Amino acid sequence: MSENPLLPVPRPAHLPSDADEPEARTIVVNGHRCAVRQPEVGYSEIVRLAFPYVDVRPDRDFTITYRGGPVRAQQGVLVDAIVVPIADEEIFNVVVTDRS
Amino acid sequence: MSSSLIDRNPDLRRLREEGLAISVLDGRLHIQGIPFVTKQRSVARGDLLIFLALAGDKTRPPPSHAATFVGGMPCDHTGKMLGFARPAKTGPGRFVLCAKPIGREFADHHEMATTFVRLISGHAQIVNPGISISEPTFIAAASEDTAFRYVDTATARAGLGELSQRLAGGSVAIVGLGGTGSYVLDLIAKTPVERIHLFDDDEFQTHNAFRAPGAPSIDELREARPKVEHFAHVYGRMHAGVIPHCTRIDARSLHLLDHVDFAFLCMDDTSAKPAIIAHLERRDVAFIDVGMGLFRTDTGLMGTLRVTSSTPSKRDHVRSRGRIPLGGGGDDPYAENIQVADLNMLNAALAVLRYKRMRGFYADLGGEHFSAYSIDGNVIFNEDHASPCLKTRA
Repeated sequence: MSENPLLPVPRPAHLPSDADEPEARTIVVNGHRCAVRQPEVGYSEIVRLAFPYVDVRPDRDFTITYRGGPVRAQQGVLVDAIVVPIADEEIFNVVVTDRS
Repeated sequence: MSSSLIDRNPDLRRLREEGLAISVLDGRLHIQGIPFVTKQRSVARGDLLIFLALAGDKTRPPPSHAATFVGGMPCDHTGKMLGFARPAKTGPGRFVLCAKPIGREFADHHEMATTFVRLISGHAQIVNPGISISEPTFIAAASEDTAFRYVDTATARAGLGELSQRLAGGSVAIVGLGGTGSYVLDLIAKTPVERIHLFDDDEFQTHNAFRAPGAPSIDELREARPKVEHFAHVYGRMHAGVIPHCTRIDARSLHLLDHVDFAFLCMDDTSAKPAIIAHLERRDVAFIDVGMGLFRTDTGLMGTLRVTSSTPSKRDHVRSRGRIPLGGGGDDPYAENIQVADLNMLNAALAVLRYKRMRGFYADLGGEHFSAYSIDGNVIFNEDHASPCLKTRA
């Protein structure tokens, strides 16, 4: 899986951490690793992480599944207006499920 | 169907000609009104049930030498249970009978039925010498009136006739006959629903053959028939109620859904969906919408299959939680029309399983109205639960 070049990478462990800056977690969005600094993510953030090169309006047509999350939100389907706490290596899949 | 099946097969026809009251029901040959001796040494009448071995509408030699007797415990003339009978596990008043000619199986259904009738009724004739084997007042059972063009012996063999009846009757619409819709048809055509309405205005083309059940010949592809006609032709060979409509369902053709009892929405055109959904909701019709999204990555295809159910008792999630893509405008920027037959098939199977749980064929303790399947982890996510359908034991 390739590193996403547009996103901040986790701070190397040997550097002293800045008290103001929370530690980054790495989540896997559509097969790509992304570093995320905030402890929770929502629908539109995940859509932006999934499609970093395109200006996409995060409408409500995406199906976002997550698994490997922390105990409070281990797996599920992320809908608009909800945020979930994240865990390292948590897997998010984002796609419009409209083909048949 | 029952009488034509009997007419067509010499072994069954002979049973009727010899005066036995026979009919075909749920894939079994029923021989009604057979006199037998009860435990109290009186004579009563019961029915003999034999699984029909069929190749289409032609009988085959019976593969088993077991039959079921319904109506009481068949005894010998002294009132003792017949040696080849034992109580059936399937319910009181039912007995399994087991007998066969020495060193071989029965040649046909005539030999099998008459052998069992003789073994049972011989004792009744000792107790009451004047009794006739065929019940004179017997009225022939109505011929089997099923959705199929031949008898569903699979359901009978599995003993699922009663549960299968929960899928009988009414009409189901399949809107869109792409990969997933055609696999939905493949599964629904094997249920006893009365009518299956197909809606699509596309041609059946070569690429469709690789995402649809079956294996069309090149000659069939050259015909370039409308999809609905191609599939009505194929599935009409098995199910008698497949009705093709070579039209797209949109705001102008919604009335075509006025008489359906259930709908599978399997079309790509998300812009038509709001009107269809609103129409089905107004008419209190339950429906299932399916869809998949696949995309390429360096490590292989990834993606999700979705099944969204909407029933009169739970509909809010469709809009409040955005559970069906309705073409909001912000399209998937990497949208590609990638579909693969096995995923079409799985998406269809997940939808039909959900339908059968709604109808009570399968138990439904989950009550989920939204499911997503992630291919890369083989995970099913279930959400939007309605209360499970549990019966309290009396």
